[in-house]
Amino acid sequence: MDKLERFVSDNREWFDRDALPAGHEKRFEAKLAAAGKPAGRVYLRYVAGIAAAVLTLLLAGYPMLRGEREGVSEVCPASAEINSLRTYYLMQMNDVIARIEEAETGDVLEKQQLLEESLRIMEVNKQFEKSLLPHLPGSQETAYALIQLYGTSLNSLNFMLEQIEGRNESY
Amino acid sequence: MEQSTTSLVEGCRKGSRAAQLALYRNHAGRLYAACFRIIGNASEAEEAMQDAFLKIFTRIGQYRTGLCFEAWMQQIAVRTAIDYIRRQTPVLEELTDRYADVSVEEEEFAEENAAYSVQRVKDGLQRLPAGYRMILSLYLFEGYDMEEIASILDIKQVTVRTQYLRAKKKLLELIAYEHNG
Repeated sequence: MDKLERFVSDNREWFDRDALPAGHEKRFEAKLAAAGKPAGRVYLRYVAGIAAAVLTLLLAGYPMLRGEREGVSEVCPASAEINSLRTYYLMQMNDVIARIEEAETGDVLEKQQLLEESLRIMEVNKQFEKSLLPHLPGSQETAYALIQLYGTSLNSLNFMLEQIEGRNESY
Repeated sequence: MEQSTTSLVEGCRKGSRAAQLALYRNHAGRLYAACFRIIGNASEAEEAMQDAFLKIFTRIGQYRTGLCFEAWMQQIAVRTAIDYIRRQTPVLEELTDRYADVSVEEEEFAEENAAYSVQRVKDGLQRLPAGYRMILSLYLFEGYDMEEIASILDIKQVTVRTQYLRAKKKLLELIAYEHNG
């Protein structure tokens, strides 16, 4: 042990006496309260917000929203891409939900809550597909909007999966 | 493990907010000190420390009685602080400073002539580049050996040793500067 190591070792208790920043406890209480909500609920609001933003963006870009497409070819290169994206994301999301269902955990209540939240996230996506997507043109903007919405949904679900699996870095 | 910590851990397992806050109050100081030594910035160290507590509460179901609970919490805090640094700054300095080669004689001279005080060492650590500060913190304060540090930082053991010597030399020079004014 060299002199510096010995000094630190002999005075260790003093090195652990850094003053905590003023107000830290209040800030932590607020953080804890926010974290206490099931993660899915926090993300559900975020996903719903993204969905609303996507809708606004698309409506702003397309002055008239009709029940049928006028003058838009059904055969559109972007439509194939949109369908591929849908398929990809839905498969990924369903896979994550299946893993949440299969996860072994002692906290049954938490698992149930996370599954309920995951179903609500899927419901938001379903509503998007049912009421909005059929009326949107097969364009790159639509593809981008779909990526934003589904990507966020998938991230939310993965976060919930990590929670239930209790992923632990190797300490 | 003290009885009070035992009962707090049980309370946290049940999701008791009061137990979580009590555990935070009991241990925030120590975990903050560990994060601050690594990160070197008060507000960021507080954020990392509090994030560590949230991880502790999330993972408390995985804690097994028999392990030292305080050490388990400390590990989580240290890893959280390291992740924080990694996201923001390069881990280690390049071979650009004049301390690239630290001879044994230079090392011994610097060490013998350093005017140690807790505050000077703390101040010196804060002024070090992030990579140097992290290596010194892990070795001197968290008790990791060179092999463990190499594993944590995903670098070669010989690099850890070299960086440690450079970091120590720089710290000793900063301590001497503080002393001499």
